[in-house]
Amino acid sequence: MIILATGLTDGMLIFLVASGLTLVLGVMRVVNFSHGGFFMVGAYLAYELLRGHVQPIWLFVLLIVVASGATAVVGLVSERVLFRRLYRLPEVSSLLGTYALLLILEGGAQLIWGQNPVTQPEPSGLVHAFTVAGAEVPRYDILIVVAGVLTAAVLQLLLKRTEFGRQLTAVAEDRYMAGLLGVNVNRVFAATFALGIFLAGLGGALAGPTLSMVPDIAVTFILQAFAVVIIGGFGSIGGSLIAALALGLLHSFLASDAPSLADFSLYILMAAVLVVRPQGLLGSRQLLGENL
Amino acid sequence: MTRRGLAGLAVLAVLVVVWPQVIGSGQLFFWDTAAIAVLFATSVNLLFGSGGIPSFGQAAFYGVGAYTVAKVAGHAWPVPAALVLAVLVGGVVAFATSLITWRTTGLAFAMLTLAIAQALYTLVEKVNWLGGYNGLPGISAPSLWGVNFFNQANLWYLNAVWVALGLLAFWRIRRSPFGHTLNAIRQDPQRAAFLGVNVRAYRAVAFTLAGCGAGLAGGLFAYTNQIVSPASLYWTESATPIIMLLLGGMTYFWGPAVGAVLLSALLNYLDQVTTSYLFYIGILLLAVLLLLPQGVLSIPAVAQGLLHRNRDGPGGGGRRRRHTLAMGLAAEPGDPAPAPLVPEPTDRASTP
Repeated sequence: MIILATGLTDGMLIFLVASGLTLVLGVMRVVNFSHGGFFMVGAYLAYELLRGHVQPIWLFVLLIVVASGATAVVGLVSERVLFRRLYRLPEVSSLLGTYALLLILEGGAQLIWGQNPVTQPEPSGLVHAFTVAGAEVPRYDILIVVAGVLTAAVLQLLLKRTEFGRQLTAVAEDRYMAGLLGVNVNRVFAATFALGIFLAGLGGALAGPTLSMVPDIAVTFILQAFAVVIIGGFGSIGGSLIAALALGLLHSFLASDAPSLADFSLYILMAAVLVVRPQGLLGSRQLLGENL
Repeated sequence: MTRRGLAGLAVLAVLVVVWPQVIGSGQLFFWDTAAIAVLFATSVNLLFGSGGIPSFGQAAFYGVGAYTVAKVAGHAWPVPAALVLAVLVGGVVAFATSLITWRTTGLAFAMLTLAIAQALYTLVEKVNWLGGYNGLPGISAPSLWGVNFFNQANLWYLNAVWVALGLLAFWRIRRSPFGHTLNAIRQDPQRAAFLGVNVRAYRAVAFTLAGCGAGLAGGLFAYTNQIVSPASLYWTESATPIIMLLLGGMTYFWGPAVGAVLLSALLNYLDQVTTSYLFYIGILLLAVLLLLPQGVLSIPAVAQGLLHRNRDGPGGGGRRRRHTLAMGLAAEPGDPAPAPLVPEPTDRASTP
């Protein structure tokens, strides 16, 4: 039971980060290394707003959303200033451009908050664990799982049921054609990026109480998110949800039964999936670069 | 090679010989690491500059080479044997990696190499035989033919000789038919395939050769640093040589070398004045990408282009500008003018 709960929680956190990453990748065709940087910015901004104190739940949730929104604003600015210029460059250069932004964000956090870890306690009422079937599960996990489920549902509705979602899908499919048909591609890009960075910030803000914050979390979390994106299939939100949950569960299962293998769960899962389906669980071959 | 090129090399060789006397042994460690970075970045440039192969996992082969030397140094293997083994192990691991990534290109390839390298990092961190998280300390190069490598100057000469050998190898590879074919593949993989080139095999061979170079650089690093830790394999280490080759200019053979020295010096300086060098390195990388995509070695060509534009007056000379840049890139006779990575680099470089 505890294994299940931990796995689910970890998986949901990774999903929050990976969903934004896969969204940006699918629509804008940019592998965004700086995503991890925005995750970290979200965590630190939430810490600043909450002042590192125990807060009531409603305030906690409100401020976390505010922090994510603020992160999205930073993301939007960087899209205007930087990413606009990267679209024209070859893939590898744009990759390095986002890496540069990751370095700037991480370095900036070092300048502002220093290298010493800071911690953010859980909101009041969710501090302790509760007991289910003889196992102690941290209450805070419930909040993370609820947030993950809500995010998945909202994203699904947004993409499938709204005008914006249709435009986004069209741009992801063929940006040139979508542009000809009257879709404002630049605006869709900006909105997609802001949404993706909002999710990164939300992941960071929610993860805050579960980790000790150092600027370095920018580079550690991004790799898991990348793996999830690869496993789930480039650009597929459903795929990244499945992959993230599978990764979380596999990791917590291995951590209890075969601890030495736990850190490899990422690579085990990736190898297993890629051998059977090189394009990922729900991915299309188009983005894989299967042609020469 | 041209007469000017040979003269330049002769000056460089003399500098290398007198360097320990010029700067004193206290600073030699920095120059050792810079020389190793020169070799590492040049090996990575076979992938980026020649083949257009975006690998983000080269630190794996660097680290594997370092651990190879660390292990056999414990058994007092002679230096050349240990380094040749590091080259071979680096190459074998790189070849195995290229088999896994055989069918992928572009971004998927970049992500996959990153993941494989990171898996190796995790593995090395867990294996007790390799010292686990703490790594392997106390590595030293055993004396060879009566030469003692505890002496800093001797260690510098050891590094210089092997880095020179590595550079010579990559120079030959770049000028060989194989190197030219890699160029063709970078410029248009599809056309190269139509002409009968086995694109995937060429990429795999290039990847293996770059792995050999990284292995050698890693081996030298083990002797120089005297301790090897999993940190050498961490994925951010893979990015460092890429920043170096961008900084210097990946279309030039000496670009990565210049970039490696510049970035090493800059890191050394930033380390003394700030706790957050990442911030400044990020800004630098962005500035190079957006303003000087061909690296610092393209400054003469870009400057020449600017001069021509000014002479033609505002609004004129767009075509001539591009022409001049192409000439500047092909300044060395016999060197095939590499296609600019970015179309019309002068446009961006000259916009204030």
